[in-house]
Amino acid sequence: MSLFFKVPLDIEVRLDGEDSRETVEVKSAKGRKEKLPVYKDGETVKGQVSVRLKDNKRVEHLGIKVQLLGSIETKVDGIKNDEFLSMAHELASPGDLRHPETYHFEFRNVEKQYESYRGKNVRLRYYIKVTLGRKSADVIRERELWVFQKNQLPLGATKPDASIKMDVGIEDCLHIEFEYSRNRFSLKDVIVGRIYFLLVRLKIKHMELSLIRRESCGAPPNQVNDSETLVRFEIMDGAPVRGETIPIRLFLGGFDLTPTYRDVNKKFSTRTFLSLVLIDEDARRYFKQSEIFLYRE
Amino acid sequence: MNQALDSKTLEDSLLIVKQQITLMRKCLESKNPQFMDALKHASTFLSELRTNKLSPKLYYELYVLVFDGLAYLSDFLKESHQTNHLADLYELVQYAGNIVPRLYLMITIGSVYMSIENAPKLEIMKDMLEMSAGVQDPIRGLFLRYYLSQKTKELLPTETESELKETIQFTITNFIEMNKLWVRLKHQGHSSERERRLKERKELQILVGSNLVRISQLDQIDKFYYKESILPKVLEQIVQCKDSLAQEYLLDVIIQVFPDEFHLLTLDDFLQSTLHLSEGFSMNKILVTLINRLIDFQKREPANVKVIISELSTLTLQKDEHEENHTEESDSETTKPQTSSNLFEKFYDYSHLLVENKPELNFKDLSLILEAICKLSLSYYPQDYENINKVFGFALALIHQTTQHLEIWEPLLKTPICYNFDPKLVLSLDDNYKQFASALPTAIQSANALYILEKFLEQDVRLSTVEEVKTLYELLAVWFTSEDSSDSNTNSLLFGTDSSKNEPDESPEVVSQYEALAKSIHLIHHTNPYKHFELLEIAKSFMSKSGSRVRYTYPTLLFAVIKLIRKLTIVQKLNALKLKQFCQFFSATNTELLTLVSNGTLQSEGGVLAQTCMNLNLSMALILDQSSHIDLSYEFFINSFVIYEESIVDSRLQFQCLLSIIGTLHKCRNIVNGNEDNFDVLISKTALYGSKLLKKTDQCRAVYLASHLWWIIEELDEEDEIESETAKTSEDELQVVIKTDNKKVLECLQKSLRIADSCLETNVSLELFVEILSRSLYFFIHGNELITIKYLNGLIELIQNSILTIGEENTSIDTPTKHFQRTLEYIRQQAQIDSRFEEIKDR
Repeated sequence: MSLFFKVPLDIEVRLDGEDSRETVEVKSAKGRKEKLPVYKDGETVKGQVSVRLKDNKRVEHLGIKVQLLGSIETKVDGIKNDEFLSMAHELASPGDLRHPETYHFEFRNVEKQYESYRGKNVRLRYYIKVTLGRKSADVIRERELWVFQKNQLPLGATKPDASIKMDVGIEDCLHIEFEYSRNRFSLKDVIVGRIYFLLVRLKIKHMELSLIRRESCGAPPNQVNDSETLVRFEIMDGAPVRGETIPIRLFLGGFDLTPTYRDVNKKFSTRTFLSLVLIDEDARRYFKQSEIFLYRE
Repeated sequence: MNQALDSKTLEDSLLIVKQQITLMRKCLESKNPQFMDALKHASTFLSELRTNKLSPKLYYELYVLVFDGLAYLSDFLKESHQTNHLADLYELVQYAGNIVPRLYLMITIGSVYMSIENAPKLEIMKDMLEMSAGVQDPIRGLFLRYYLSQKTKELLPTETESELKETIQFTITNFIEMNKLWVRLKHQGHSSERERRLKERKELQILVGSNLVRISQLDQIDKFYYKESILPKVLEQIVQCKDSLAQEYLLDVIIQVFPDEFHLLTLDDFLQSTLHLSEGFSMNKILVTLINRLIDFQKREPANVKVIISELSTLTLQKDEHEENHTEESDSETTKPQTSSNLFEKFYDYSHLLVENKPELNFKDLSLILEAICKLSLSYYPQDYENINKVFGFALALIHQTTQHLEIWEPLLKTPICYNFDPKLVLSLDDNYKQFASALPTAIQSANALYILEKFLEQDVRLSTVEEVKTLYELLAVWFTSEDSSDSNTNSLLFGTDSSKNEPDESPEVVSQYEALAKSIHLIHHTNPYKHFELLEIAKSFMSKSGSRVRYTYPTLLFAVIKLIRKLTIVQKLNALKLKQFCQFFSATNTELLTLVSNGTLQSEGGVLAQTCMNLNLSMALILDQSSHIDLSYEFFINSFVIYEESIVDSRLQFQCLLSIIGTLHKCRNIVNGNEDNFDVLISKTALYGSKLLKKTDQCRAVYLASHLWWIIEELDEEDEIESETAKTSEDELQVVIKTDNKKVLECLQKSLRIADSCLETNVSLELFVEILSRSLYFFIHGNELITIKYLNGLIELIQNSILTIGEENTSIDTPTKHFQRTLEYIRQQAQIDSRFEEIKDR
């Protein structure tokens, strides 16, 4: 098939200042690592599209266009693609291509409403799509961008900035009080807190803190949730006694976390939970989760 | 089984650690150090420390190896800290998922960071300390915190006051946390492993104690700061941990590591807190150690002690003033500061509190504590005897509460005597001590009494007041009072119940006791002989209680009296009235002794005792004669004779007694001159006793010896020449004639000759003949006119004939024959200087 429909030309998308631009490493679906250029909201996206002919044959086309697309792909009930951003420029009108050509394009001050995201069931991606129309199959070339929205305010934080303080326990078994300094953190923040043991009758072996990302997509009846533990961090070894205070300090900067998104384009949300897990000698786990709001600075 | 498993686990872990250390070093030593990889290896080998399968001892082995590995890492960091920004690294290691490796890495990097100039030392310290709380497992936590303290010990800042405070705070907090972990270890695991748990905890104790050592090594701490800020916190923790092993060990560490002066200053606080320690805590060990340290301190630096005590009193004074200002109370408590700086008072009051607050405290501990307090008082306040009495008052109260294990009090009983022996102290012990002593078993009492007495004898302590004599003998009271009732008890204990009560064979202990007691009489001394006598009377009043055992002590007492009389005679101050008193005392005492003989309690010993009595009488008679109290002397001779007649039954003893009588009479001078009639009565009686002896040989010898009593001549030594000039003028020879009665002498000799002749055994009579010859020669030499050459020749002939009759060859007469030969030899020699002898026929 590929021989038969062999594409007679190469399209290459180059972005301006590509070498000096900040990049981000993302794992692709196949498990490979990709390096993607990072763009901010409102930043101009510009570059060149080079079209090279193979075998120096003349190629007839129905026009070349470049698009900047933003889409949310969900894997619930098959793959659904929903574009929330679509901009296009025509690079060439229908005609013949005899020589390699380079076209400049520029999308000026594009509003990039959302951050790029790759989750389990949801992907939010921005990409440049170059389409060379032909009578047979179009030749399409895509180039993905990665978008960070800096200074993004945490979405959906109920109160502006509150510490989390909780008093939990199992009757006559365990009673602890824990406290995190805040409930919203930037991705480079440190979670600081403490756990105070009021009653300990369990034979606790150790205690950890984990960060869980919960991704949900779809509308309520068909909503799909998926949780993923991103970080496991032991904060206590051995059994404490009544009255002990265990410090918590977790640096977030080193982990691959996602800011809290709520109802991105009414398609999906990602939330992060801080989970305190106590493991006893019989490997039973007792945990308490509380949501934290992450944002990017 | 279990152990093998343990060591297998250890070996596995050690192997992994070694491998990882090697890998880590490779990463660091390569040209482009791969620091991140090195950290990863470090983290891997640190993960081995997460194990909970090792006993503390084995865990320690693992720890040591890991420590070395980390030391390598920190050396590297120190050298390359320019390239690796330490603050970043410090943050980087925070990402380690497991807490134990994370904290070890953190401390490793943190300590390197601290060693660099301008580093935020205090923040790092605090952070590391705070984070260490994450490890709650006792063993792992202890080692981690130990690591923290080891790594930071050289780096803790002490330059400024606030830094010093932080450093101390840091160390104390670490100490408190470690102690909590250590105590918690007790409650872990199965209850059947409690023994093992205890052993393990003992192995770990040094880790906890190291923090206190660290504080003590901070030179900048002065004693006031210690009192104000360090000790209270440490003590609070020790009290609160409610674990006797920890309390005992840590208090001991405090005592050992901090300087003596600190202890002196903080004594109140220290003692106060010990009152709140948990049950089962052996109080005595700590207190005794503390007191011993204080005592040593006093011995080493008495000057320094004084300074501190005065500081202490000013401190309390200030405090009181402060309090007074604060509460605006009247100055009713002005005396308080003085007493409160008295160490003894402190301990004494404390011991009362101890009993009140800790009813479970056993008496053994209390006795040891009191003993230590005693010693303290003796070394700090050697003059303050009242202290000791107080202690024993308290001990007395305690001992009344129990009747068991009384032997535990013995060391306390001996303390005032053996510790820095001071006779004055012993003599100022009051009733408390005596009652205390009497509450103890008699065996202990008498051993103690002997101990006291031996000390006195050793030091040759003179007793010169009534009180002293009384006190000493009251201390020895056990010997006087318990004799009959308990003696049988001790006997039955020692030798079984068979030993009959009327058998006066004393145990060696008793004999040595009484020997010492007899010696003690010689300790009594007063420059005024009459006062001295009074003291002796008191002594006697004590001795008289000891029943038949007075036989050990009375003779000494009587000799002491004789000694007194002699002394008075020499200074010529003998008062007749007093003398009579002496004599009455003497005869009364002697009679008491004699009653022992007459009532027969002593059986076989009786004769010997009677002889002693008689000899005592003779000695008394002699001394009275010398002091020219011839009538009294006569009385005592008569008494002696009475004893001889009534109490001396054994014929051998009789002979010996008779010899004593003859000897004593022969020494008398004044009675011969003053009242010759009396003397004649005495000597005739003596001769008569002699002739009435049972055995012929005894009779013979007694009679010829008695002959000397009629022929008393005092030969003067060269030195006496000048004094006895009168005698010299009257006689050519150097002799004073006191009594010469030629006829009586001859009679005696004749009589003895007759008796000798009547002996059936010829060899015996031959010996006697020779002896009589010797006597005759004596009298001949000294000018008895009735002993003539003819008489002597007759005797010699008689002897020679007897030898012939028996036959010279008979070996049974070897000895007398030789004796005879020597006598003849003597005669020949004499003949050369004395012409009279020439006429004696020899052969």
